[in-house]
Amino acid sequence: MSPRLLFLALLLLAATGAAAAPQRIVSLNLCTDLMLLELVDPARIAALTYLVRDPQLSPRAGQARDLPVHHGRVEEILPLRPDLIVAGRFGSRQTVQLLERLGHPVERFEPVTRLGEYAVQLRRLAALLGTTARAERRLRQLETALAALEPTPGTRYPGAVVYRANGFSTGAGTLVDELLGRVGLINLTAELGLDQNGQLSLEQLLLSDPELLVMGEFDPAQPALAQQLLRHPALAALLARPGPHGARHSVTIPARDWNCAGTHLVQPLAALAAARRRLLEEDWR
Amino acid sequence: MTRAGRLTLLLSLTLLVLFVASLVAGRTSVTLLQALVGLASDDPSLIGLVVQQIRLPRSLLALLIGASLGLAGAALQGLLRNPLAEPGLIGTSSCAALGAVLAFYSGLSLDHALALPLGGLAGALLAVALLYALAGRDSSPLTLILAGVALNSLAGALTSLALNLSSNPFAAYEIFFWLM
Repeated sequence: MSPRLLFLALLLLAATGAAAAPQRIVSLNLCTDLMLLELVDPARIAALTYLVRDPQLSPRAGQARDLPVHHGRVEEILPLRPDLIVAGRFGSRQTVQLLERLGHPVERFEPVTRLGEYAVQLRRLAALLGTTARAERRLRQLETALAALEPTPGTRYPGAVVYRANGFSTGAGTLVDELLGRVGLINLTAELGLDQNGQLSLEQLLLSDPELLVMGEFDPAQPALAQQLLRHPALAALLARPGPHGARHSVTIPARDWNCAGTHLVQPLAALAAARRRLLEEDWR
Repeated sequence: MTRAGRLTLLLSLTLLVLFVASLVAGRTSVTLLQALVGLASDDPSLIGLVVQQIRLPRSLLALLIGASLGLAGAALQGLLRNPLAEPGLIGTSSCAALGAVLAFYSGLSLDHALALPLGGLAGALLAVALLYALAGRDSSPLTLILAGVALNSLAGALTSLALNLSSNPFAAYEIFFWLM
């Protein structure tokens, strides 16, 4: 084969390869929305879920403000002629099943409970999209940030409790549990034996003697009994009382900031690491 | 001692025992001694915090709520001459809930703590005024109760509406709480 012919063949291959990479992508799940935002230019996104624009639920609401969204109904998605649909394991089930029956390519992604799983998922999606280089860049970005926040070897791990509306907390086997450990905190909810997400009574929280309260968001613009628990006087009394090593602190991290994995995790992790640093500085000597 | 006197004494003693027992009951195990020590302490331990900040307020609230419900029940049983009467029957409870819901979910009670109880009282007062307007001056207990049923349904519907219109996703789940 002459060099010229080879070049032409390669060009043709590149062109067909580019055409094979999906250009009209639809996502049916908030976490896959966020993965797409990490991996592709907005031009290739046909629609994301409406949730991604909601500042109450999405850590990237600002970035997604001008992107097209859908409400998970088949009649909204079909006219978009998607060439790739990414969905979660749960949610929009009927829509997903119907879309599959109609012959649309659907890729499902499990809920992420470890950063390692996230890396696998992001690479899998990037391979489908033809943006593996960008996926590696994102993962490196996250790892570099995490490495910078890791605890100095030999330093103490203060006990922390995550407390959200209705007393929900995050136990062992959750992404939050892993992240707390990575920045050098002990997840006391996991120590209490709670698996996954579940309710923690205020009494259990107090007796677990946390040094750091990681509170969910209290939004005064949207009152609900559910979040009144976050303002319980017992929590203020606990924070006013010296901890086992001196200080106690609380930090607010809205659930949306770490429900899904992604580079947006850097911000809550930095807040946690800063709170931990402050605790260690105020240790009794 | 008269029979009524003996009964009152017995019930008061039961109340006292149950009040102390309620300080020991909870998700975490606290002994009676720990509870009493925690209650008396100025600089409480964590168990003391649990008793002072969670269990004692809970027990006191139960006491006060029980007393006012008993009072309201006795008044209505006298008025309607029926031993089964209670304030929920004539719509005051659900109108009070509506008033409290409006005070709470509008955000008023976040700025002014008294807004919640005042909202409830205003709702109950409004219910009585409406009841009077509906049933009239010399109405029979039956008319009163029928008017109360109408008020009940109206207030329940408006409570559900108010909670559905709230932007907080948790609010819709709390309909159940307020209609109980």
